[in-house]
Amino acid sequence: MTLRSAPAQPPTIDSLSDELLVGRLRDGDVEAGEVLVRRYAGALLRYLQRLSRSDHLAEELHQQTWLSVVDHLGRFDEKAAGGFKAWLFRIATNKANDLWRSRGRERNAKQGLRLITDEASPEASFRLEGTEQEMKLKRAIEQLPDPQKQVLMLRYYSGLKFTEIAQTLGCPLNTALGRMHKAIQKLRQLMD
Amino acid sequence: MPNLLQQLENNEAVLLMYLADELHAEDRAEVDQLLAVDASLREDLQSLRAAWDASLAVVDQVHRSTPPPVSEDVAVRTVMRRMRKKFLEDQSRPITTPEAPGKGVPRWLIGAVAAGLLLVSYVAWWGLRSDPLQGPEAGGFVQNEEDLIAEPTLESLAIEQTASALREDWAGSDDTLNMLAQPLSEAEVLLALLSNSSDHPNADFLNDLLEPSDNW
Repeated sequence: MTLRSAPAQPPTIDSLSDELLVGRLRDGDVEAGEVLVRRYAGALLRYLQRLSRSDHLAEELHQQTWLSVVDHLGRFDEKAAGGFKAWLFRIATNKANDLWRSRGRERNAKQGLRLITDEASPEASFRLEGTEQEMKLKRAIEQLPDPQKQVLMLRYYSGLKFTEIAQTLGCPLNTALGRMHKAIQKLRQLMD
Repeated sequence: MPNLLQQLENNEAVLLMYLADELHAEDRAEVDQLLAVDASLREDLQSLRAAWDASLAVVDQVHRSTPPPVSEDVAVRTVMRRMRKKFLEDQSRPITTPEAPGKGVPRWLIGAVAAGLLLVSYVAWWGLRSDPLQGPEAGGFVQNEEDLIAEPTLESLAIEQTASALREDWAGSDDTLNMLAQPLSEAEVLLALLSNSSDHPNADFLNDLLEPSDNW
């Protein structure tokens, strides 16, 4: 009596690699796109939430990031370090940077106003939730300069390697490591 | 990545890569050897590990205590709605075949042609502007004193010859329609019409024009 192995099941779309899904999306398979979105939406939203410090902006940036992915599918290089995930977080980071650059000019002018309106904004009320300790932690992270925060958040939310983070941010590896080092030292000081 | 250790600028970078477990086996073994003999490096590593753990703990705690901006399902649905709309819009657009690199008209050539056209237009405009028909006698057409002393151009000489020929052809005839049988330019037709209209404000000038003049 010979044992028969069960017939091989065709792989479900959920089990496909990012690169295969990107290929399908490029061919117009929107379902493949949905698998990708579902795969990364959680981490990406949280990453953008930390960078933008605003729920509303994080959601908008999240949508813009995916639309940009669709727009630039032809430019995705499967062989690049970090694969699709690094590319996706790079686009998201660029979107966040673009936003802050465009708002940079307004920021100074509106700084005074924001200090007042923040008290009544949903984000402000949201920030008031939680314990003193949680608020202290949030503030500590918010006090980090953006480049340092980006490296720290990329490491936490994307799980990318430092070499991939450097590529994602378009900076040398030593720069990315320097930023991470400063970030963790500063957080430690702030928490002490 | 071979020789990664050599690329790292300082001990902090090396130790971070060590902590993150991103060094190759050979590089890691080399760092282990250094740590075994260097007490201060071991202290640095311990300090960095404590800061690393504390930082990630802070981020983790903030992450856990902060609800996401929107539920994942809602975020996915919103993105997919916009993505589908985008795909539909892209499909409804006319298909344009991208040009193969090198086969299209080079941009520099377009620029050169545009510059050439501009130059030709300017020369043509300049030629018309220096048209003897709009010479000093016309009054009000003189742009500057240079027009008064301008040397006769080939164009002005040609027009003078044409005007002389017309004068000879039309001598003794008031029928200006005769000239339409000739292969004349619009300017010449206009000149002929105006020259036969004595009440035209430029009639004197045009009459003078038909006479030999030294001004050109």
